[in-house]
Order: sequence, then structure tokens, then C-alpha cells
Amino acid sequence: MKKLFIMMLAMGTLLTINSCKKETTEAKPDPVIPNVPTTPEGMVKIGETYIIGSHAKAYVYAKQNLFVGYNTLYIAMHDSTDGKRLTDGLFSLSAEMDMGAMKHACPIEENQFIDSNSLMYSSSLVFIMPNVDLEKWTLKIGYHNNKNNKNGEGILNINVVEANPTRMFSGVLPLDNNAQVFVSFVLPSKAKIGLNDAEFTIHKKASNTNFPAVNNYSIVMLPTMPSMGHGSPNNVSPVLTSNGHYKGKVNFTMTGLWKIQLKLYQDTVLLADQIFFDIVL
Amino acid sequence: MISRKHILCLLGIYFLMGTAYSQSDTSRSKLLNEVTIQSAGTKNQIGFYQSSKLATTEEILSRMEGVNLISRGPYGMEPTLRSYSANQINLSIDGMRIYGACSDKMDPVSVYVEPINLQGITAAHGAQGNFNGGSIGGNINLKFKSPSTLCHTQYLTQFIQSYSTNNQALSSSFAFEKSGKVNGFRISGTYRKANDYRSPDSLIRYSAYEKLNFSASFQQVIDSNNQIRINYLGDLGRNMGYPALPMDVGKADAHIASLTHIYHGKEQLVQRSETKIYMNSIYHVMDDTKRDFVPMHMDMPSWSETQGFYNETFLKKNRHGLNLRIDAHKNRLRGDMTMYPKNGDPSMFMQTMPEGYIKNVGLAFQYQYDVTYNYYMKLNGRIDHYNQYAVAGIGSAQWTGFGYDITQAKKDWIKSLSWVQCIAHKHGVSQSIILGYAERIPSSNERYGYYLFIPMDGYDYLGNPNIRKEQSLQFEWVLRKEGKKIQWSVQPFYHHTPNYIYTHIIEGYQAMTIGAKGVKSYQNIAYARQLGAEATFNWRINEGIQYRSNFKYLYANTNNNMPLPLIAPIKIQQALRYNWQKSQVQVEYNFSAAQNRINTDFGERKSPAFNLINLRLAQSFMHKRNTVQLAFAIENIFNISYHEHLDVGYIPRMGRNFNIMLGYIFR
Repeated sequence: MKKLFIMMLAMGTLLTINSCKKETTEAKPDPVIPNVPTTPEGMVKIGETYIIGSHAKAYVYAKQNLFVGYNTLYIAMHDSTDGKRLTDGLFSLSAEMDMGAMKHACPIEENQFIDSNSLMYSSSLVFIMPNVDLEKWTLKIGYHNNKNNKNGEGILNINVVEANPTRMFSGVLPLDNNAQVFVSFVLPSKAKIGLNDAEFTIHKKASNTNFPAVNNYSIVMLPTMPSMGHGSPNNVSPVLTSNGHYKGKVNFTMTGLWKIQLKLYQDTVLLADQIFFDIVL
Repeated sequence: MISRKHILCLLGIYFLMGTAYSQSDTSRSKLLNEVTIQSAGTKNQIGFYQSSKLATTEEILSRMEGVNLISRGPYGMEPTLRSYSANQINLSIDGMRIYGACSDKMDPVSVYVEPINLQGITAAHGAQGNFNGGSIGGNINLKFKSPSTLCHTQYLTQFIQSYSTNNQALSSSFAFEKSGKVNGFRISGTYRKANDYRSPDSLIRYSAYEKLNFSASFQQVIDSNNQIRINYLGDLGRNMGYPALPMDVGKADAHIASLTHIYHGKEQLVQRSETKIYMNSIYHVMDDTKRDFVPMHMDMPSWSETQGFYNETFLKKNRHGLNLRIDAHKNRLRGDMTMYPKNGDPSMFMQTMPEGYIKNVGLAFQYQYDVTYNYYMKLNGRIDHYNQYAVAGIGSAQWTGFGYDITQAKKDWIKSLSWVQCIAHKHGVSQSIILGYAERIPSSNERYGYYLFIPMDGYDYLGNPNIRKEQSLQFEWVLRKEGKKIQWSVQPFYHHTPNYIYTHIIEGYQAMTIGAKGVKSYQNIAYARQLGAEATFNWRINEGIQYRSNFKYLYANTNNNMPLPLIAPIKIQQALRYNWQKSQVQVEYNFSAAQNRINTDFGERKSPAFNLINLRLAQSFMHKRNTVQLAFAIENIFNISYHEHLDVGYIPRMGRNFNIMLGYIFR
């Protein structure tokens, strides 16, 4: 009986101590670290770099970690001294892969101007290979800060991984003068059951630094469910919108694994038909 | 006073309400659990319809005039009225709306009522059957047995057991009823378990089933005019085989509850008023785990929940009778399907029945005017407003791929009107002319069904959200004789159905179900027409010997002269019964002609004719007020191999079967 009483007393004391601790932590507010912007909702932070020369700091985000294929980067530019958001300036971006023996760039859609809603700069790139050991991608971010009218440049090492499932097809097309093309599947923000936008980009390699958009192909798209062997009706094969982008509609009649087959044509010549993109709903 | 001829005339016509009220007292006194049937025939056919005391509700239905059954297996047969099936008829329980949960129609609501808790079945064809709900084919209402509130306390206990040798089917039912002056209650239950049955040639695999059905009701007298009744029915089905379908039913749970207020007027304008609030829920899970060859395992659960109420009031003054009904109900329906690829690919999900609602409000009347002593007319009408839509979710998203926003409600007004004239001639002969117009809304399947596989034709079915309501113009003539010894009736009918909902193949669409031939959908065709006749002949040869027969014939075409699918051929059912003291012998002879008018679009095949003979013997023993009944039957005596034309997959029916039944009734 006495033991029990002591135990209860001890437990009671412990509980009191615990509750006291809680109160003290709650009472003390978290210190607010100024000038570190929070990552926008639905995005991941890719990195940050000072834009040396223009008193700016770039915070780079993307909807997901960077992968081989079509990526859009979102950049919030801040004043490097007071941390305030910079919205007045011109932005530039390039990417480079250093393979030791050689260097090359990738297809890129630059956008100098800020998006007035999100107050972020953005550009899209097709990373045509992943980082491999010492072979790494770097971003070169340029900014002309209208606040102080100064140009600057920053370098950011980034990590690009192979996407699973694959988001980009690369191949040499003999019937188009052995052109090396890159076909990327631009993910719908969230693929859902029913009708979805289906967007693809096509680029060619002209040189190690020049990857122009291909605007003279046509695409036939065939989605199927390999597990069941059927397709879906009411798909709209992507057609060129602009700048190497082809947009159509894909009808996912159920969740599960879908395989989207693309056939590329130039005029009526079939260039390639073994292009497949998997997507899991 | 109403003349005898007039009474005959009244009996000679389908009438739903008036006699439904009076039947409760007549049938209660019958031995064991006999069911009152009210269809085109008179209500004196008790027992004839019920081939054995433990026949299933479906067996009873199959013997009714104008009723045929679509079979997908030995369990869960779907009743049709003339040529009209599920979506075109209104199958109700105790006036309540219940929607089967299964998108493959494995669970017509008639499976939820066991004969032991069945008071009676009323069937009315065409527009006249629309008092309970709008349809074009008519109404089958299964009425629950309810406790009585008599002047004195009385107890009744009933046990029935039966065993069938063919499929080792054991069936046990019990009921206990207490009647009292101020209140009464009744509980009953049935358990059925059957193994696979045998046709003359082979064992029909996946035809076993097991189910438990239980019900309870309580009735309280408030005063001399008012009573309250509470009813609950539960039905738990397990591992029910459907040999004609690629899957069985693993589990089917139904819960049906209602609260009823009954008012009896005495010599007043309002003679009776009944108000009921009700709710029911059905959970249905298909199962393929017991099958040998399953290309891909699937889970297919589905849900159906309905809430509603109705009020029926019967007014009578002099020669005018008016039955009024107002009702409303809301149904939520959803069917899911998850498929599991064998190679470990991600599972696939879709809603075969996108989650959605049907909301309905309806008003109905039945007005009867007794013009002269031998002539009356009746006007029945009903108007419904329906609101059908899917909720935002996966099911409605699926339809975006087909260019439809099915969350946008489809609203329909459904109208129905029928006019009956009945004249009584001499010698018990009466004749009636019935004119009717009716409409029905497309079912949820027909509007929103999503790749529903129908094994009959091997196609996946997509609904058509834009499909319009079906209409029907109906004409019927009834000639009837009600004699002391001989009763007969002939009733030919003709229905013209504009905007008939018919199927068509969608070219270029790939089937989803592995092995399916393609995709079909629904469309309104110009019209279909249905004609046919029913006839009955009953002869009481002497005190002990009675002969009864009925005849059914249907002929139905589309406007392109394509025979409609699922049309039963000519059928003649005959029974000769000999009663001697407490013994009874009955020989049944069922003939079904061949059906050569088939719908090839629907994958129908010709069905041969067959002759089926059954023999039934029964012996009762009475001791004081207790009764023991022993019955023995040989069904399909000559072990013929046959199938009904409406059997999905043309799976052979049961071969010879010996059935023994033992019943006790204690008072």
C-alpha cells in the first residue's frame, strides 16, 4: 500500500514536471529568422545563390526534384542585404553539363520577365542527362537589378536524377538526317482519372550549345494500359502550339499504370514509333 | 349493396389497394405460410403459385401471370413483367423503393424477402402499376407479413425445414408471432445453404449459396383508429454463386427498416391512411477468388442507400373511391472496381457506377367511379419529378474523358395515366378495356454506367448521359369468367414504346474487360412494340380435384423488326391437384416452347422447347390446434436437360431433385 502510494506520488510529480516543461516551451516563441523566404507551397527548394554584382540572391524552386526531362524552375529574387523581394529586373538562365572532356548545354526556354502573380522568375529546361559521379550540371543565373541598375551572375550546382518512370526520350532519327531529338513528356500538374492535358516538347541537338525547338513534326499518341491490354477513347493527339510544344488530351479511364506511345511523323514519313512514357495514376 | 357481379368485376381487374387492405385477414388463417397473389388473376390462387411451402420468392413469382425470371444463377433471379425488365418495372417491398446495389443486376430486391415474411405479392402490368412509382412495365410489390392486433392474445410458432437432394440444399425457417389487443410482434428468420447443383449432364460449378434472412416487426395500437408499426428486415448473403457471370457474390448485406402509421376511419370519408418513413442500405461485394481461371483479380464492392417516405390515403364516398399517394425518396448508388495485375503492376481503380444520387418526388391517384351496378371506371395517374446526378469525384472525373459533366443534374418529369373500364355481363363474365400511357427515366446504369461488362453479349457497356426517357402507349383487353366451378381469363395486350432505350456498338472503342468484344452504349430508338397475351383456366372438377393452368405469350420487336432481347417464349403451366382429407397430390406440367425469335445484337441464341414435370405430395397432421405438415416433391422427374430462354449464359437448370419438407405450426 505504501509502495503504491509512493509510486503514485512519483508519477504525479513526473506528470507535473512534464506539464511544466510544456508550458515553458510554449511560452517561448520561436525566434523569427528574418530574410529567409519560405518555400512556396507545392514546391521544393533546389538551391540558393548570390547574384554577385547585382546585390541579389536567388532562391531556386521547382515542383519536384530535378530530373532528366522537362523541368520548370521558379526563382525568387531577393535583395542580398535587406532580404526584400526584388521584382524589378531582367532575368537570365543557362545550364551546363561538365563532362570533363566536353561541356554541353541543354534545350532551354528562357523568360526574362517576372510573373506578376507569383512574383517569381521562371524558365524551363530539358535536362538531357543526369548527374553522373563527377559529371555535374550547373546553373548560371544572371540578373540585371533595376533597383541599383547593376548586372550580376550566380552559379548554382544542381543535382539532376534519372526520372522513374522516364520522362524523356532521346534518339537519332535516320529519316530526319540523323537528327538527335529529345522528346519530353511535360507532366500534367497532377494526372487524374478522366481527361488530362497531354503536353510534349521536341528539341533537336544542333550543337553542344544549341538545342532548337522542333516545330515541323506531327505526333500520333496512343495511351494503353499494359496490364490489361486496352487503350482509351477520345484522346486528342498533340499538335504544335509553339516553340516545340505539342499539346493534346489524354483520357485515363481508370487509375493504374498507363503507357503512352508516341509516333513521330515529318509530313507523312514515320520517323519513330518506339517512344513510350509510363505514368502511374 | 354491391351486387355479386360487381364483386366479380372488381376481382377481375388488377387492383392494388382496395384488396391489398383486405387480404391481411384472409391469408393469416391459412395453413403455414401461404402467399396471397394478386395479379391479373383472382386472389384465389393461393397455393398454386407456391409449389412447396418453402419455395423461394422467385419460384412464387415465376408462376404469376405475365412474370418471367432472368436467371444468372440459382439465386438472385430478376423478375420481369411481360417483356419489361429491371429498369422498366418498379419492384418494391412494402411500398418502399429499394435499388439493387449491384451494377450487374445480381441483386434484384426480390431476393430480400423470404416467403416466411411475405404476406403477399401484388403485380400490376403497365401504367396501372404506377401507383407506387413511375415505370412503364408495371409494379411488383412484395408485402411484408406484419403482426396482427386482435381482440385476444394469441401466439403462433412456425418451423419449416426442407432438404433438396440435388444440391444438398438445406433450408430452415422459423417465425414467432404474438398477437394481442394493444400490441403484437413477429420475428422470423430463414437460413438457406446450398451446394453446387447438378444438371442432368454435369455439376454446375459456382452455383452454391448461403444466406441468412431475419426480420422483426412490432405493432402498437394507439386508439381505435390509429396504429404504429415498426419493421426491420436483414438479409445476409454469403458466397453466392453466379455460374453465368465471371464473378460470384462474396457478400451481400441488406438492411431494410420502416416506421408506419396506419389510420382506419370508420364510416368516414377517409377510410384509411398509411404513412411510412423508411430507409434501406445494401452493401454488395463481388468475388472472383473461388474461380479457377481469373485473368486478373478484382474487388467490386457497391453500395445503395435509400431513404424515403410515403402517405397513402383512401377516401370513399358513395360510389366514388379515391386513393391518393404522395411519396419522395433519395437513393445514393456507387460501384467500385479495383483490379490487381498479376505481374505486380500498380492496381487499377475505377467506379463502374459513379457515385451519384437519384432524388424523386411523386404524386399519384387512383380514382374509381362505380357508374352503375355492373359498370365502373377507374382512372390512375402519377406524376414524378426526378433529379439524377453524380457527385464530384473519381466517378464524375472519369466521364470528363467522354465530354460529359455528369455532376450537372438531369431532371425529368415522368407522367403516367391509365383508364380502365369494366363491365360485368351475365354468368360471371366481365370484360375490361385498359388504355394507358407511361414513361420512365433511364436507369443509373443507362445514364452513368462505366464499362459494365454484360456477359450475355460479351460487351462492356457505357452509359449515355444524354439518353431520354422511354415512353409507352398501352392497350389491353381483359375477358374473364368467374364461375363456381370454372374460371378463365384471356387478356391480350399491345404496347407501343417510343424512344425505346436500346443498345448499339460504339465503333472504335476498345473493351476494358479482358476478353470482351467491344463497347456498347444506349440510345433511344424510334420505337419498340410489344404484344402478347396471358390466359388462365381453372376448373374445380369436384370437391377433391382441381385443375389450374396459365398461358403466357410475348412478341416484341424494335422498329427495325429486330426481336427484343430477353423475351420468353410461349409458356404453359398446368397443375392438377387432388385433395383428400389432409393429403394432397399435385402434378405439375410446365411447357416452354422454343424461342427462335432472338436478338442477335444481344448475343442471344435460340432456345429449345422443353417439358418439365414435377410431382408434389403433402400430408398434414392436426393435433388440437397444432399442425405438422410433411411434404415431398420430385422436381424434374424425367431428369431432362433444359434451360429457360431468359437464363444468362444458357446454363442448364437443375436436373432431377428430391425435396422433403417438414413444417410445424403451434398455436
